[in-house]
Amino acid sequence: MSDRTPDERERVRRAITINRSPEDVAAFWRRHAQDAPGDDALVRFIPAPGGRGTEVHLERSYTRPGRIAAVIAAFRHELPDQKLFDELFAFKQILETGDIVLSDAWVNGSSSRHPAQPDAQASQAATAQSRTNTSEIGGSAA
Amino acid sequence: MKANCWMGKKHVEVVDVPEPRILNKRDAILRVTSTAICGSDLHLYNGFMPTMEKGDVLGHEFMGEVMEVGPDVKNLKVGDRVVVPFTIACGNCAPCQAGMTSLCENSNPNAWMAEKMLGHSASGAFGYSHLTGGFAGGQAELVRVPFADVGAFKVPNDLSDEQVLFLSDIFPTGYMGAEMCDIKPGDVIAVWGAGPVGLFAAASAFLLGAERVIVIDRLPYRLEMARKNVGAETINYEEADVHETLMEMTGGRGPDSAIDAVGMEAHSANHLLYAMDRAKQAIRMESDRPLALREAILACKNGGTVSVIGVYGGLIDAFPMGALMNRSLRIMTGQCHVHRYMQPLLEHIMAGRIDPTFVITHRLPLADAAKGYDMFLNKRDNCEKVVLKAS
Repeated sequence: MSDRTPDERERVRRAITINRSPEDVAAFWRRHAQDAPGDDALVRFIPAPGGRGTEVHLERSYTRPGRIAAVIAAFRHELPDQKLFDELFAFKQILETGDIVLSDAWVNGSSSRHPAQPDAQASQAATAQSRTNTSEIGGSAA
Repeated sequence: MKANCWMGKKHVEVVDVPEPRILNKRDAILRVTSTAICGSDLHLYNGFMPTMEKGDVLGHEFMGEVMEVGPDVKNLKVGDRVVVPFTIACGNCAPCQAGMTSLCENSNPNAWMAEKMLGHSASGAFGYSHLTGGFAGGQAELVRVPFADVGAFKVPNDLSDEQVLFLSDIFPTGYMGAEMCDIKPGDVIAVWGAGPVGLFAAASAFLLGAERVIVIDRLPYRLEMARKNVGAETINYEEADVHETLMEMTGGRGPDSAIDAVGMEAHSANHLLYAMDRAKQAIRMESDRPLALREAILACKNGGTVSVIGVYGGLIDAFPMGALMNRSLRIMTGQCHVHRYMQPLLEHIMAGRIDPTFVITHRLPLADAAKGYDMFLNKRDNCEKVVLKAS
């Protein structure tokens, strides 16, 4: 979801539910957010109804790309709302599973997608990344 | 290593690809011993599923021996013999903890892509397009299994590969199709499709207490399998009107539940209807041909259940919503939550209540995968199920 701020920036909003307590989610967010770009992030943690964990509502503002740049960014999965989804999805994955799951095709991220077959070159870098993800939250999963 | 790759419409090829390695800490690497070609692989083969890429390793029904485990996999060791569910599940998210593992919220790295097409993403899956994550499949000598601590299911050594291989998909899928019918004593269940999933749905309906099961197909050898191996009654829709025959067989009530085990590439004896759906598919007015589904809805008794386990990928046209609403029908559907069925179905196999090998008609080496796909698609040599021996 998106709209415009008074200074003509694009404001995008997205929410995700994480199967962890609001305290766990907020504590991890505070630690994680220290490294995150974009000081204008607005985040809220709301207990999900029925004891279903925590709703994370995230809002960020961006300078709107031009039309052509937006088309290219959409094709490369780099529009602000797409990035926001990726950010929340990674956050959920790390908190719930301890890692960001890598598929064979997307092991190097969306910019270097290839067929769904193993990638010998990418494996070691990916393993190192996996180690970092897990250690960041102390290896604990939901 | 050798792997069977999708190279384009109706073109698969066994080629050399890099060997998989551990990428996440909950991964395992398997040496695949047996793998199978699924009816839903034919949707990829026929080019009906979007987001396939040349070189994608196919295969979501496989089993093998554990060669390596990631540091967070504590319940498996090298040498364990395991069957792997076709869906990938983390075990931590809310759907996984509710037993709905095909709705895992963490296992599809391309969830954003699936959201655009489906509204929400379902779980990741092996060898089944980039929409389900872009995971390499198991029609290969080796395969990487993400979340192996949750998915890889150890099987006893005294059971053969062929006895347990189908725990990966088609037996649980058929079973879930029957379970969704909420079968009660005396129930009559109709199953559209006598492919392997349809036969397992029919057999499972009996396991769950159905009094009669009626299987509908057009291929005599498949209907013969349904009668001989499952004990079902059959209707050949090219020889008899399905609706009228079902009404006659059920005293005008219709079957208590109707299972669609056909999905998006249905055929029909009504050539006009079939041609219309083919034309709509060709001009992208619909992505799937719901001929069996329409028939199942119209035939099911008032207040009955229509259980959909045949695969649909996108949009269908001329859906009989009026029949569904006015006749208080209930639709149950879903990709199978395989993880929750593996142990109970293994117990059925070990107790001798079912021998899943009855569906196998062909055994080929992995190198002959292309021949297997062609044979299965064209129903040559009475082909029902092809098992590929990978090592």
